[in-house]
Amino acid sequence: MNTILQNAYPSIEEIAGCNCFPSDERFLRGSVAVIECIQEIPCNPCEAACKHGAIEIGNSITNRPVLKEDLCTGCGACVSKCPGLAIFIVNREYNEKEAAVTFPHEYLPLPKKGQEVDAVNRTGNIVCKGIVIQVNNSANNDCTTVITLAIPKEYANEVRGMKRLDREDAKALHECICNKTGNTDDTIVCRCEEVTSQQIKDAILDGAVSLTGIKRRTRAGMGLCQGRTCQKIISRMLCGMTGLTEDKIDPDTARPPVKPVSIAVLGGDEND
Amino acid sequence: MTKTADIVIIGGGMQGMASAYYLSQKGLKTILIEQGDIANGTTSRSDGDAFVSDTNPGYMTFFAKAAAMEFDTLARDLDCDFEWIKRGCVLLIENEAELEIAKKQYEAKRKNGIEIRLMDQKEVHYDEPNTTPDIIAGLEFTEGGSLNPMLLSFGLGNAILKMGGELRPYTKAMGFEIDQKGSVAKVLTDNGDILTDKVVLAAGVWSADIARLAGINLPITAMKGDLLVVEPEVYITRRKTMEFGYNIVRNEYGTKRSVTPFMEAHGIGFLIEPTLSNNALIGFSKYPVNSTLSNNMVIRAIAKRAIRFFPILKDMNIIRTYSGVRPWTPDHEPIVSDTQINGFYISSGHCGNGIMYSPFSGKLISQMVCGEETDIDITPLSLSRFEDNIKL
Repeated sequence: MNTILQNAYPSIEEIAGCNCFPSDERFLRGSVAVIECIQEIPCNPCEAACKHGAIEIGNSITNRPVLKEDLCTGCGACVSKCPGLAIFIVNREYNEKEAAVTFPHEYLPLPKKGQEVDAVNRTGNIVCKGIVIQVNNSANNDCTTVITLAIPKEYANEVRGMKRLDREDAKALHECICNKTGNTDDTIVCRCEEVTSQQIKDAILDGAVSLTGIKRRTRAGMGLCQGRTCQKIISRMLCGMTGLTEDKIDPDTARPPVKPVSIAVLGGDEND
Repeated sequence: MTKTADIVIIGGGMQGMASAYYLSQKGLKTILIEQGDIANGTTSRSDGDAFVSDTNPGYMTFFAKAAAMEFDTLARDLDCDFEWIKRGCVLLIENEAELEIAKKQYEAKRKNGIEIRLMDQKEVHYDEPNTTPDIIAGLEFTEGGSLNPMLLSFGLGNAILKMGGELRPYTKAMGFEIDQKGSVAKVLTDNGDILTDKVVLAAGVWSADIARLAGINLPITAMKGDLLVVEPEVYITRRKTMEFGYNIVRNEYGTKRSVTPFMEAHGIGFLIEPTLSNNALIGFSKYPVNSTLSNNMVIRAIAKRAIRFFPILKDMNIIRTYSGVRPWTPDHEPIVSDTQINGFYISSGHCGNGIMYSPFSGKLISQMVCGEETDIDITPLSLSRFEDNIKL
């Protein structure tokens, strides 16, 4: 069986089975929300996001959303509000040959309007090329970028995202983000141990050429999450400053346990 | 032939860094080589403390006290905060047999000038209320403290560079050239040769392999220890607290503790040490294995032993475990010594007290190299005490 529990993405059958897919008649009238939310999750921001009352959850918060397709204008206000990134806007009638698919995209760097990108399906595999027709970063989206792609009509039911762009320009991008936020060096990189970007840079200047070297100098990665959050960022900083490529940077020594374990569990009677 | 360096130090852990620091202070041009990064080996896998609690009374206790006092000087002289906190430690006594040994140590160490106090049951539980009720007494050492050995190593490194010394990480010692007179002439590395007439070998567990390249047989082996890191922000103890049994395990007194055969075989006991980073470290183990991978069974046994002394720990989480290898010698005392090769010195084999002994050992080595009188007589630490082991 192809299920979301096995694959981490829903199958067409599962989506069809939850009675939330707009009808063909509605698709003929242009943009409409496609809600691919098939699990009974306690979550309802989509209901409040729709100013037209087109999405209904009802009294039980674990209800799946129901789309009232005649009320939906396809405005897209709900797309960035779904924490599960499960809402899309599909316009099968974008023009004669193409459909438009709108989806949330939480990766950097962002594409530019008019750029040709790889359009991907629910599994993340490339299915066709698409042209970016909108990059919506409005304040209402609260940092979740919403992108609209024009794609060949026949893939309208398949395309649900775009391939993440290469970070060939990552350094410039980093600077761009830093300029935006102002205080670059106070940015906390390791949140558990509150290690700042400046402290990481100082450690690299001090001669650290590995994640372990930085850890020993700053404690970055020694907190509750054991480096799961900051390791990637730090290795990128290391690449940027030393000229090493990411494949040359060894991962930090993995130390058990994988997640915090209580001493009572460890000290059980098994080892007598 | 012109020398590249007055002296080469092999090993970038606490011993090597301290030796290079004091030798640079004496005005010698030093080059330190290290096979990995600075503070990469046992230094970064230790619990970073300096207490005079686990030495045998007599010479080693004098040595330990002098060593612990060096950190005050370093804290003042170095432009580096290495988290040196002096808060003493308490040893928990489980039964009458341990109390007997503890009483003898108390008398002997007091005569050695150590600030020590025997606490009765009531006092122990008043002092550390989380202790399990059946602990019958405690032995308190008010001197000594804990530190961050990695920060200290980096701090010493910066001071060495400022004094004109040189650090060469990722440089491995590959051999030595000894001249016809039996003196050091060259240190061969995988990163070029260094002309010098003096060498200090301070490579901890790796010392024996390197000494063999010069034809010296060092009786140093690996003694593994494991530590558990408790989640931050929980209060368990005020200061370092450990079972008195640590002395029994470390110094091999032969008295049996009431532990499982597995615990006995792996030298498992209890210590807890709150750190400045708000974590607490829990130990300990001692068994002859040369690996820095955590051993699940040992970790479990340490957890079990910890609950026996501090039942409150049951509800707390372990976020990380780590292991290191102590450079062990047959008599548990360090080797701070010259050798049969002129200009070849050794500062290694500091067993479980390497962090504490390192600045003092480094200082002694620098005095020995310069032909000065040493702060303390170091003949008891000479390599020649293992004469049977040395084959040319």
